[in-house]
Order: sequence, then C-alpha cells, then structure tokens
Amino acid sequence: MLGSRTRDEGGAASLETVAMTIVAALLAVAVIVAATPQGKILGETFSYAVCQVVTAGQGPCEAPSTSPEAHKPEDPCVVTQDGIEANAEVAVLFFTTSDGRRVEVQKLSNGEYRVTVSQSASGGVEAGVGGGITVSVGDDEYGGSATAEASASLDIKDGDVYYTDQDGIQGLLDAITADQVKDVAVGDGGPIRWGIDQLSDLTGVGESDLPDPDETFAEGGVSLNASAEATGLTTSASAGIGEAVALGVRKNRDGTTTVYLKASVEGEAGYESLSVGTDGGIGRNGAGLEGKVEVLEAITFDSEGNMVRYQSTAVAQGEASGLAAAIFNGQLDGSGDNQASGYRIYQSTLDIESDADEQVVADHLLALGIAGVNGWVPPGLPGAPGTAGNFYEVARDRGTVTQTDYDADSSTYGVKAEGELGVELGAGVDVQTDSLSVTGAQYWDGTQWVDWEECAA
Amino acid sequence: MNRGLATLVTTLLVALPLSGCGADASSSDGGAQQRDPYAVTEEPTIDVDQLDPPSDYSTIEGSGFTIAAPGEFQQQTSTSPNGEPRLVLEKPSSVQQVPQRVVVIRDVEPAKDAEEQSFALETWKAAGDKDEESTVHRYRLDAPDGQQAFLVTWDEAQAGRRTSDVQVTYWQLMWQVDDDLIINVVAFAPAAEFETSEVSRILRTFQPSSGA
Repeated sequence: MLGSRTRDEGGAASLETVAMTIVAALLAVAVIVAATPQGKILGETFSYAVCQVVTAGQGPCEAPSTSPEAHKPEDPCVVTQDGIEANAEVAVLFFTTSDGRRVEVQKLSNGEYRVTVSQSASGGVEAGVGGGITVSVGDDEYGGSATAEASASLDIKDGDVYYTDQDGIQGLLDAITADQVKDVAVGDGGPIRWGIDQLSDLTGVGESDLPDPDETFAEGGVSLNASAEATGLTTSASAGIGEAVALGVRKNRDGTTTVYLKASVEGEAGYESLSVGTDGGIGRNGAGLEGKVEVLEAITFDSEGNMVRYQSTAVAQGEASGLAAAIFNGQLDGSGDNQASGYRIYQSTLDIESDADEQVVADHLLALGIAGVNGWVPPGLPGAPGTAGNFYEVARDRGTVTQTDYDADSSTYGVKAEGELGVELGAGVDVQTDSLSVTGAQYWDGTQWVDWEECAA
Repeated sequence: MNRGLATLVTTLLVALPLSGCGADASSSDGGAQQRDPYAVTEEPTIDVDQLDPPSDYSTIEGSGFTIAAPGEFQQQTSTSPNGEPRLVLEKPSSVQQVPQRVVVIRDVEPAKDAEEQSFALETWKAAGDKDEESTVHRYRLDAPDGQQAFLVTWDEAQAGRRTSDVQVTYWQLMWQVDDDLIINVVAFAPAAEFETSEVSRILRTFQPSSGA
C-alpha cells in the first residue's frame, strides 16, 4: 500500500527524526552557549564532548577550559595564628628552643593546625628547602618551597610535620616541648637521659606523648646532587642536568612524595613560548627573555610512581618582578611591580590527569634543562617537544594559579603570641619568635584575577 | 609526689647510671622519645663492606681520602662547582655514551648531614619508580666513632635521555668525616655490566684520610 510504512521503516524515520532533533538542539545550544559570558568555556566543553563522541575517544580532541570555580585553590591556606586574634594577618609563628630545634605553628584555613618540628641542629633558622628562593625577615630567611604545599607558608624546614585540630594543638605542643625541655635539662643522650626516660616510662612523669609525624621533610645539598654532577661531567647541559638543582623531598601524609628542585627560567633555557622581547612585548618566537627568574619546581608522585601534581613557584622581587609576572600572569607587568616592602609569590599548579598533562610537564622540564625525573618517564605522545603547550598557559587554562602577597613587617606579634599560646617551655629554654603576614591573595579564575578570600587577610 | 614515689625516683636516678644501663639515647635510633625520621630501614643484602685494595689496584691519594683502582681506569682531577677538587676514574664501557666511572666529590660545610642527605637521595630516586620491586636501597655502613657512612644504590635510565633504553646502575657512598665534610663517591656503569665492572669494588676501597 502506498504511503504505508513498515514497522522498520517507521523506526528508521523515528531515528532520523531524533537525530535531526538532537543536531538542531545541539546547534541551538551552541548558539546560546556562544552568546553567554561563559561561552568560551562552555563552548569548549561542548566541542570536546562532541569530538569525544564522534571519534570514540580516539581523536585529537582539545580539552576544554574549566569553570572559574574550578580554578579556585583547594589547598588550605595559612590564615591566622591561634592566640593572635588582634591581627588576623599573622600567618606563621615559630620559636626556636635553645637546643636548636625549631617549632613552627600555623593555623590553616580549613581549621587545622600544622606544626613543624625542625631537625636543625643549631644556629637558629637556616635557609629552607627553598634555598635560593627566599625572603628575609629580620635575621631569618624563608624559603619559597612551602608555598608549594599550603600557598601561604613561606617556610619549609627539614624535620617532622604534625597536623592536629583545635582540641589537639595544646597536647601536641606540650609533647613536643616536653621532649625538648628534657633535652635541655639533661641532654639528649647519656646515662642521665636514659634514666630520665626510663623513669618517665615507669611513672608517666614528664612523659612525652609525641605521635608519629604526618609528614617528613629532608633537605639536600651537594651530596644529594653528586650523582647528577658525576653523570654530567662529559655530557654537559644536553644531558639534561642543566642548572637544575635537587633541593629536597617530602613524604606526605596521603602517601605521596614530593621532590623539589630549583631551576632558572631564562632565554637560554629554551623557554620559547614565553619570551619577552626587548620592546616589552611577550613573544612566542623564541626571542630571548630579558632577565632570569628562579623557579621552585615541586613534583608530586603517588605511591605507585605516577606523577599526580606539578607545581611551579617564583618570588616576584626586585628586578625579577616584571618577568615573574609575565610568566605566571601571561601578561607583561610594565612597571615591573617591584614591591618595596613585601613579596609576591606566584604559583602555578597542574594536577596531572592525562597523558597530555604529563607531556606538558615533560616539555616544561626539558625547557628547564631537565630531561626526566628519576624513574618517571613521560608518555610517548606523538609530536615534537614543545607542542603539548606551555606549562604556565596550561595551568592558567585548566589548573590553578595564585598570587599571594606577604608583608615582612610583623615580627613583633610573635613575642606576643608566645604567652598566649600557653606553651610552657620551662626554665632554661630560650624561646625566639617571629612571624610573617599574608596581606592579600588572589587566584586566576580562567579570565581574571579574583580575591582568594579564604587566604587573604 | 608522695614519699614512696620520691623514694623510687631517687633510687632510680642514683641506681640506673651506676648500673651501667646508660645507653646512648643520641644514637641513630634516637632514644626513647626522639624519633629519627631519616633512619635506614634495611640491612645490606649485597656485599657493600669496605675492602682492602686488590693487588692489581693502584692506590690514589686524594684530598682527604685514598681510593684504589685498576690501571685501565684513567685518572683525572678537576674542580667541582663548589670549588673543591674532584677526582674522576673512568674507562669505556660497552655503551659509548655511558662509561664506567667513579667520581669523588667533596661536600664541605654540608647543608645537612649525610644521614639526612642520603635519605633525601633515596626518596628522590624512589619517587617516580613504578617498578613493583624498587631498585633503590639505602644502607648504613660501619664507620669509625664520630663518622657515619651511607650507601645508596639505584638503577635509572640513562641520564639525559628520557626515552633511552640504557639502564644505568648507580652506587653513591656518602661518608661524613666530620660536621664540616662529607665525601661522596659515585660509581656507575651500564646495568648490564655493572656487576662485572670494577666500579663498585673501586668504591669499596675508599677510605677517608686522617685529618681529612
């Protein structure tokens, strides 16, 4: 019969209709998406999804940008110091006992306390893991590496790190200081100390209840880098040793391990996609960078050796300020933004979620003169080095970028905090205190800098 | 404190030191309350002890140390980036770009002691290791009083060539002579020939000089 349809024909027609409807709807969505303020991001997401479907996940689909909210840092930020409510800007308190150990107490934005007990033998505060990227407060130097973890602390020292909450902070400090009081009173060894410890075990008097640390730091130096020096004797910079220096390691409480290295970003490092020309403009043509910026690179691996996070940090200070701003902002700061009394810490973070992310890191490391990191081997993606995308651009696009300002003019608060913390250190313990302020913090939301309220004072 | 407890305290304080039970709490295990975060966790399962130079080795007097090597190893002296003298002993291997090499590097006024730096090296090398059985090991070696020595061993792809299939075996000895000096001995060769090479035996002939 003319005009009649079989069930199969009718089904085919229905599918065609559905398909056309879907296409029409998709087009309508695409138009709407393109017209919205977030059009770029949503449009990219849409394109990526369609590409993935069409190519069954095998095509070269460009991952979309992320939403502004996705760029907000999730790591806790040091915001205040317990007992120093008069000045919420104070971020870090530390004291050094006369046995040379240093205790640093921080209150994080998630309500936790982080307590770092340095193993430094003596001499007070030394340059930390971030040696080379340091700021000075009075007689103390703060390494930049801690910004790799908490985005605010400027100091990482070797030693043990404990995390606790409001209820646990006093007990933890008591345990730490009780141990140190015993060291000062009777020394850290010998028969007297042994006797005191045995007595504590028997009676509980003066017993330290120090738990196992959540994290452990260790610093390196010439000895840590000796194998790199030995290997690179005849193979020069092409061996990938370059100027990069291994600084130290941290075993984290979540089972990951972070390794730190210091490198320089400059024209000769092959940082072609981020060159700043002599006319002040940013170029991508390989023109040499004007100046040099030291960067601290923090690479985190999970317990199975997979890279899970890459982070680059720089201190904008002095002549390097303009260049650091250019690299991390993606825009040249024409004034150089040389801050007279403070420091700006730039930090770009990329969580490694794909082979493409790893390739970005591999290219970034190559640009720094580092061919690889230990046992980690980047994925063998097609394409010449440098084609995966510039790390800083990628971090701005789908990672996290922050800028945090610090004021070093707050050292008086530390003294005040000593008593308010209620740390009963006992006689014979010389306590020194100092502190550092966070005066402002912002993160890049994908299109602009916005205030990072949880971190800013 | 009641009288009974006071008596017990007094008795213990007097009796314990006299009883000879006064173990040194500052040793590597850190004592009853002190945790040593960098202590080694394994005993050597390979022959790592220092050895007397074989008869066909020649002894070389370095800056603060002696070491011995067979005649086929070429000897060079140069300067490290830190300005200290550096000794290089080297011979070709079966892989052109990876020689058999032993290098002695001085770390003067070290930033951290050998225990911590060797821990950092071990952790650094193991961080990206995906092998189920890690090739990274760290041992404490016997050393005279006042000194300490650590040996870290590991395998990695040829440095500088991330896609290289040339595996290289490394041994690094960190010998802390005193607070102001760590002498490093780095020995490496292609993994396939490391055991038959002389580099590990050369490393094991290392001895710090008195007054180094």
